This record gives sequence, C-alpha cells and structure tokens, in this order.
Amino acid sequence: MMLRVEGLTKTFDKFVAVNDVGFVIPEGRLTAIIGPNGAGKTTLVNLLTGRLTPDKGRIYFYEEDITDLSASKRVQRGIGRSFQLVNIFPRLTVRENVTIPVLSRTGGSRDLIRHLSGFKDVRNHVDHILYEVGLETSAELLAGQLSHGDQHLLEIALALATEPTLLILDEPTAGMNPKERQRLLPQLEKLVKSGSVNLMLIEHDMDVVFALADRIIVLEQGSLLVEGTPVEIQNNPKVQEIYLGGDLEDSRSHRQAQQNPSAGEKLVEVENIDTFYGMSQALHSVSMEVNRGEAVALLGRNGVGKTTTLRSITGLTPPKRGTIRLRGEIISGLPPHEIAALGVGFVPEGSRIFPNLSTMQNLQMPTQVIRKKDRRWTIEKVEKVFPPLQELRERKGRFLSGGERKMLAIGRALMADAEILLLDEPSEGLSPLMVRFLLDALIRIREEGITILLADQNLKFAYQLADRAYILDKGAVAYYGKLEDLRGKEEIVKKYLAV
Amino acid sequence: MGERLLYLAVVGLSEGMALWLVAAGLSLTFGVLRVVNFAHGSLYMLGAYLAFHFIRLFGGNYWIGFALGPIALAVVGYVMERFFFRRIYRLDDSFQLLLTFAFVLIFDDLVKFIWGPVHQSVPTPPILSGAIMVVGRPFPAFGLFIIVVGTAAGFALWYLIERTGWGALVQATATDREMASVVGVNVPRLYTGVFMFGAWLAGLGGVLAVPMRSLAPGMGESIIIEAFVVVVIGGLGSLRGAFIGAVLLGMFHAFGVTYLPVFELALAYVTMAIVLIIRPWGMFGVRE
Amino acid sequence: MIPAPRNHGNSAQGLGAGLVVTGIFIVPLVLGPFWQYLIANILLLSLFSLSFNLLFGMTGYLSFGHAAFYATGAYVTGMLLLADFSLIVSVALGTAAAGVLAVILGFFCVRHTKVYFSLLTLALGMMIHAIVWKWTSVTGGDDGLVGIMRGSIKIPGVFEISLNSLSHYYYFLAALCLLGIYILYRIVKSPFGLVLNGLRENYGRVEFAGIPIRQYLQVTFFIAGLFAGLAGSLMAPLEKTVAPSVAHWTKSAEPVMASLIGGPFTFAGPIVGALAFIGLKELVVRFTDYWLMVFGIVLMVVVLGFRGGIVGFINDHLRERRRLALREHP
Repeated sequence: MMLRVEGLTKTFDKFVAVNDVGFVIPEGRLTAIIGPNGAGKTTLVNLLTGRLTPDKGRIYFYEEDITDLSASKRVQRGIGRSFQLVNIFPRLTVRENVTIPVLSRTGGSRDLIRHLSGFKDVRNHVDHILYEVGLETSAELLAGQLSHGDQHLLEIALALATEPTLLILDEPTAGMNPKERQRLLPQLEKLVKSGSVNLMLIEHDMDVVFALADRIIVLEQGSLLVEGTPVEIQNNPKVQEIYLGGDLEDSRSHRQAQQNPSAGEKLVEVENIDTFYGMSQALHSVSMEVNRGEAVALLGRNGVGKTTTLRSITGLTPPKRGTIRLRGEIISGLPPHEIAALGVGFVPEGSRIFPNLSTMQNLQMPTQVIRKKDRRWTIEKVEKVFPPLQELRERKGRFLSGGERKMLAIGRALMADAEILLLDEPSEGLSPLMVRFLLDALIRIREEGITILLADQNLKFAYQLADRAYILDKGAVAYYGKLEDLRGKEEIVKKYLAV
Repeated sequence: MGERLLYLAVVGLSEGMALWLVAAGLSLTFGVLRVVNFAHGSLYMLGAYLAFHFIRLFGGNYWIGFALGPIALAVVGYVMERFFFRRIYRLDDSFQLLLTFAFVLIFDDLVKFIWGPVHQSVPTPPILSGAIMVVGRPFPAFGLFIIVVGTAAGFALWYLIERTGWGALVQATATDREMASVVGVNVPRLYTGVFMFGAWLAGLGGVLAVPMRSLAPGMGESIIIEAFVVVVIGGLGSLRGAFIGAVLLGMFHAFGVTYLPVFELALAYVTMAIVLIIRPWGMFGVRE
Repeated sequence: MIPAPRNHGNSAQGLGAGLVVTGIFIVPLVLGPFWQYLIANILLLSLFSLSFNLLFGMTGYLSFGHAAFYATGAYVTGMLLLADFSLIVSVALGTAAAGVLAVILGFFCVRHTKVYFSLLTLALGMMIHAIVWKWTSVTGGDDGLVGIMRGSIKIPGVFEISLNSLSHYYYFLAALCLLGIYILYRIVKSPFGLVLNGLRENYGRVEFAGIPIRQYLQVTFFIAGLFAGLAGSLMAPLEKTVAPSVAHWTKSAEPVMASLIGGPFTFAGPIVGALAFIGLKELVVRFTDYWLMVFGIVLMVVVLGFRGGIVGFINDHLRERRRLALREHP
C-alpha cells in the first residue's frame, strides 16, 4: 500500500477539523478528495504533508510510519505538494525556480564552490521537468512575469522536481479562467498516463475531478463520508445531500411574511466586476443586483467565488474592473469602513468576532465609530432576536460557542445600522437545531426591513430564506432566477451545486 | 542590609520608568501596527530636547516642558506615520525597519544640528528638588515623582486599553484589522492615533528623564537598545512584559552599579540570552 | 515572449571585471597616497558590504550588528600585531576570531523571525561594542589600540618585504580584498547561493523543497561574519589604530546603506554602493558635519522609491529599453 491513514484526528481549540479519518490508497491511482466547505480537506493535506501534527492517528507511507517526520523529511521520502495560491520564486527565472528543489533532491544544494552551470545532470533533469509540464520555451523568463496559467504549471513543476512518488495537488485549477484550465488538463492527463507519479487531487471543480479521478474520497465536517469510483459517488444520495443541505422542513408559512421584493428599489448593483487575488482572477465579469427588502442567495460549490463577491462588495477585496453601487452611488473603490458606514453589514465565515472583547463590547463597537442619530437597532432589540446573548453580555468572545459567535456576529453587523446584511456561509458548522433557530432569526430580521444577500452551499437553507438566487461557477454567474424555479430544474442543481 | 537593598530597589524602580515608557510605546506600536520602530529611542531623545527647549523658552519653568514636550512628540509622530510609514505598510518587514532606521540617522544629527553636540542639563523643578526619606535615607523627591508618574502612566494605559471604547477599538484592530474596518473602524486613522500615542509616551519618558540625566545626542540609541532588551525579555507586543522587563533592567542598573560595576550591562544581556534560549518569544510574548 | 536580459555576455562582464582589477593594481603607480587610501577604503567597504548582503540581499535577513565581526577582526589583528606576530598570522587569526563569534551569535539569532533577527543583531552588536569599550585592559578602552605596525611578509632566508609604506600595504590589502570578493562571488553563484536566493523569494517553498533552512542560515551567518572579519582585519594595519567606534551601530549602518544605495539584489550592487557611499561621504563632509542626516535622507528616498538601488534602477531601465527596441525591430 502506498498510503495508509488510520484514525487521523486534529482539533483546533475546541473545533474538530479532522475526525478519525482512515483510508488506504494503492499505487497507480489518481485519487480525488472532495467535500463541501469546512469538510477538512486542507487540514487533511497539511497533516499528510507534515505541516501539522495530528492529535491522534498514524500515517504510513509505503508501510513506513511517517507521522512524526518533519515536512522536509517527508519531501525527501517522496511526498510532494503544490499550493493553491501560486507559491513560486518571483524574481528568479523559471529554470532557477525548478533548479532549487532539484538540487535539494540531488544533494548538490550544499555545494558552495562549483559554479551552477557546471551541473550538467541537474540541468538535464530541470529541462526534462519543464518539458513535462510544457514550460520549456519559458525557461529563461522571470517567474513573476509569467501568465497566471503558466505560473500554475510552474507550481506543479516545482512539486514534480522533488521527484515525489505521491504528488498532492491542492486545487490546481483555482482562480483559472477556462482557457487556462484547458491548458492544464491535458498536462495533468499526461502526467497520469506517464505513470511516473501518483496523484492526489483536492478539487472543487467537478469537471476536472470526474475527468481525471479513478477514486474519490468524500469528506464532510471532518469525517470520511464515503469513498468509491466516480460513478458510485455520483449516484450516492448521501453525497448529493451534503452538498445541497440537510433536512429542513418546508415552512411555507414564514414566506408569507415578506414584502413584495421585486417592486423595491435597487439597493446593491454589481456590474461586470473582475476581482483578483494577486494574479489569480477569482471573478470574471460578475453582475447581479439586490433589491430593497429582498433576500438573495449566492449559490455554488466551494471556490467558485461566493466569498470573493461578498468581499468585493464590502471593499475588503475591491474589484479591479467594474463597479458596485449602493442606492445608485458607486461604492467600489471606497475604503471598507466608509462602505460599512453607508449601510453594508458583513458577517464572514467563521463569524470572526473579536475574541478579547466581551459580547457587549463587540456589539457596542459599531455605534462608537459610525455616528448616526436614528439607529434602527439597539442592543435590546438585538437581544430580542437573539435571547441567549443577554446572559453573555460580559463574556469575552473567545469563550463563546460557535452558535453564540454567529449570533454575535450578526448582531454586530446589525448594530452598524446595516441596510443590507451580507452573510457568508451562515449555516456552516451549526447543529440542525441551531440552523432552525438561525433561520427564524433571519426571517425576523427581514421582517424588520433588512435586505439580505447570503452565500451558502446549503440549498435547502437558501430555499427557506431567499427569493432569488445567482449560481456561480468558476468565478462567473452561470444561472440566475427565482429560487422557486430551481426546484424543477434538477440538471442545473446537479451540475452546479451537487456532484 | 535589608534597608540598603530596599533603597536600591526604589532607585532601580525610578531608573526603569523612563525605559518603561519607551518600551510601552514600542510594544504598542508593534502590537497594533506590526512595525518595530527603531526610531522610538530617538523620539524619547527628541522629547527630552524639546522639553529642554520649551523650558528654556519659558524662563526655566519645568512644567511647561512637561506639558508641551510630549504634545510636540505626538505631532512629530503624526507626521512620521501619516506621510512616511503609511506608504510602506504593504512592503516587506525589512524595508519597514530600514525606514525607521533612516529616521534614527536623521533625528540623531538633527538634534546635534539644532542644539549642538554638547551635553545639556535641566535643573529639577523647585517643588521637587528636595529629598524625601526612604527607609531612613534621603532619596531625591524627583525620583519619587518619576516613579509616581511612570506607574500612573502604566495604570492609565491599562485602563485605556481594557476599559475604554478607544481601547476596545485598538484591541479589535490589533487582532483582526479586516473585521475592524468592516464594522466601521477607520483603520488608517487608528494607526495614526496609536503611533501618535506611542510617540507621546516616548516624549513623556524623555521629559521625565531630563532633570536626572544630562541630555546628549547619544541618548536615543542607548535607550532603544535597552528597550529592545526589555521587549525581548518581556515579549514584543506585551505591555505587561514591557513594564516588568523595564523594572528588571532598572534593578540591574541600580544593583549593578553598586555591587558589580563592570558587569551591570552584562547582567542584562545574559538575562536576554537566557530568555532567548528558554522562551524565545519573551515572558509574556505571543508565539508567532 | 521576450526573454529577460540576463547574462548579456558573460564575456563582457569578465572583461569589465578584468579592467577594474587591473585598474585597482595600477593605482599606486599613477596616483598618490590620498587615492590609494580612498580606493583601499572602498575595497574594504565593498568586502564588508558584500558579506552583509549575503544575508540581506540573498536571504532577506537584515543584520544591524554586522560591525561586531568587523571590530573583532580589527581588534584581534591589532592586538596580535602589537604583540609582534607576523602580519599574515595576525590577519588570519583576526578573521578566524570573527568567524567563531559569528557561529556563537548566529546560534542565537537565526532561529527567529526576520523582525526579531534584526532587533537581536542590533542589541548583540551593541553588546560587543560595550565589551570593547569597557574592557580597557585588553582593548585600550576609549583610546583603543594605537601604534600598530604593518609588519612585513617574509619567507625566512628567502626574502622579506616590508609593508610599512602605504603603497606596499595597498597591494596586500587589495589582493586579499579581491580574493575575498571572488570567493563570495563563487558562493553566490553556486547551488548554495541559489537556495539562499530562494529563501528571500519564498521562505515556505524552500522548506517544502526539503531543505533544512536553519542550517543554511547558520552557515550563511558564519560566512558573512568571517568575511566582515577579514575586512576589519585588513583595516587595522591600514589605519594603524583601532578605536571602539568600529563596533558601534553607526559602523554597522555603513554596509546597510552601501548595499541599499547600490542595490541589494545583484552581486555588483554592494560594490557600486560602497563606491557611491564613500564618494558621497567625501563630498558631504566638505560641506557639513551632518553626513549621517544626509545619508538618512538618502536611505529614506531609496526605501520609498528606489528599492533596487542604483544597479536595480539601471537594470530596469535597460530592460525597458530592450523591450521597446524589440517591439520596433522584432
């Protein structure tokens, strides 16, 4: 067996990221690891590569126990990894980039005296790798000046240079546009066919996964849900469910309490925005609008750009091109605190409340910095929507549970007198009971006149709350329309949201 | 014997106060802005010189210098942060350090240029020029004043950070600047404010030190080195660590001068070396 | 795509270097003591700055205490010469002493983040200064070492060349400096050097290439200290006195400024910077005493706008010219 994992567990504070995961991977396969947000994929990869040490469990590579080995020792044993965000040496040439890991492999890196050009075999090896990924023509260019797609190829070349037996590719297509993706796929296929290396893929792009994988492992909230061939996974109802959301009763009665959404004014308009993370393009010409009083859902799998869209609106990651308007006025380009003062409230993934401050302090902070005469929300009002917060007034943020933090985060955004509430994966990590409670709270908040834009993978949650939806895929809007209409369109749901 | 030790302890305490104020400003600036300001000692020196200047200008009145010196430093801090530091936050750490270093070079010569290289001195204000009995020995009243002001500043700092609204903003921004900005905190403006406050503290340290020590252009460097030793021992970014470290170094000074004259410096450095081996992030520091 | 201009003729570079070296050796034949002294200082600062830049320019670690090694070399060599040891032995032992200190201090410094590293090197550098200043019985304290003789190179029974005259010593100093510079050049261009460059560009990636970084940093710190020590060792007989100021942080600032002005990202940068630094200093002190302030302002300008230094600026300019030229004549 090439890789054997037993009982792997990793906890951060009280949060269990990976829970008793075990699996076996024989040689000669391309294995893909998939799972919705928060499933623990990245943590698992970090455990395998040695960036993190597990609390429990063992890892065996070709029957050798590597659990206690450092990251650099595991590389020497043959486990390589590429990074999701391109992680290259920008001011060195492409050749020099690849030479470094090759040198480390051949042991020549300790040589102080001989001139680099004298290492013929190193040079040949580097040329070979560059050819394998298709970068041989760019060898003398500075890595920082390559196109983004080529940088991803370089990223893979760097990983290959350590001559891994097992190469773990962490979201190799993240941030790529369709053209770049088309360039990468054949290279990956070539690698798989050459048989020189075993691949493990962490991916959200299901097209890529199903095109390349022999075997798929599905993670969910830190545990291994199921593994099998691509066909088995696609037909597995449990897998579909974790992507679309758990069981929620249909409460039509709530939906009657809404105002008439489409007759409202345009509150937020997003027009053709392109947003980048460094050189990585996360959003391609995304447009959408949210009317006052509405609840709109941003749907799509992980990594498609939901968070980036929200961050673009808040000003944390402003778009490079395109505009965003609030009540008709352009807000893209303004600093985040000004956008917040204009009425955009943000509740990020993981809540991100201030851990050293008490609940009271967290709630009061927006009122200190955003001066307004008439505020719609007071602490008492927030506590009415979230009664548990009342007893927690003096408790410091870091002692709150996940659900309590979520309530506090929403309360904090409301206290900033938000007219529109941006919620990023609000249902994530919550028990079904808490999800129900959250839903009710959000409906009440809506009744108070607050507009909602929510990004979530949980389709059923979205059904309960939102009127319209935009489905994102690979950084662009793939579909939009009434949420009601989606019920009939199974193929669309399957294509973009499930597996 | 015990009395002598107690007396020396009081001396040590007063020696450590100016150092504490400089180290506090340094730690605060690092904790929030993530910049190690090499020029913080120069700010202390500027504070001393500017106070000296105001005192001379207003007919020898120490209290004018006491009031205006730190305020002048806050203005200097404003200019430094707003027009220079703000441009380099997105750069590599090394270049940020180099910018602060450039300020050290400039301030050092600037002081020589304006006030000359000769040592200057400032007489203690009449109210505090006497001595007070401490454990049966006379101790300069001004020294006690330093202890009082320094400790009061420490208390005020703690109160400010832990109990006021502004302190909550500072804590929030230090932990998560993105979320702070998203709830409406004007982070760039807060940065300027924190830096100004740090400069004010350094200025206060300078004006306190002035009557007991002479002013010389080299005073900026010697105190920043000491402040670095303090934050290595106490932990960079921890105010509590800065206070304890500064008092410790003050004690080393006081006891060292009396008992082991050559090795007083060595004591501080040896402590630093031990801390570096056993607990590299300092006594109260946060593991990065 | 247009290839970036990298080694535009290794032969051209070699020729240029050859000319410079020849020029250096001709100096005492055509120019007087003032210029010999000046060039000697430029060579010393070049060596000093190159050793500093091995850390900063290559790995990104900024040392503010590099004068500690320079001073160790200077003091040990000075003391040995005063005790009538031969010149070669004194220089060799002075350099070795600096190397030993570098191993010790390196142990404390390299295990930290870059920021802490800088802080520590400043503190430890000034600690050495304090030792040198206070240990009067050994180092002469405030007055330092005086009356150092340059001695001679002798092979007993065969010949003896006295190096007391400036022009003779100049050759000795120039030869050893150039040798030191050449060795550093080989190290920078070696595989080891490439890994160091990688460290500056992307620390985490180098770790992931399977390289034990701390060991590499310790070795680099040692080499940097060793060659700084060599520069200091050669300085002592040149000046014939050694004062505590050679261990002060203002001395540590010199290679920092030279490397930044010249450009930290190429090998030639610190050398160009040393030339610019000494030239500028000579000029400035004629007008004002406040040369530190002038250099502070220069440093500020470099940090705010010209982080590649003189060499970087020229390189970018050349690259731009080449790009435009290729666009017109493809």
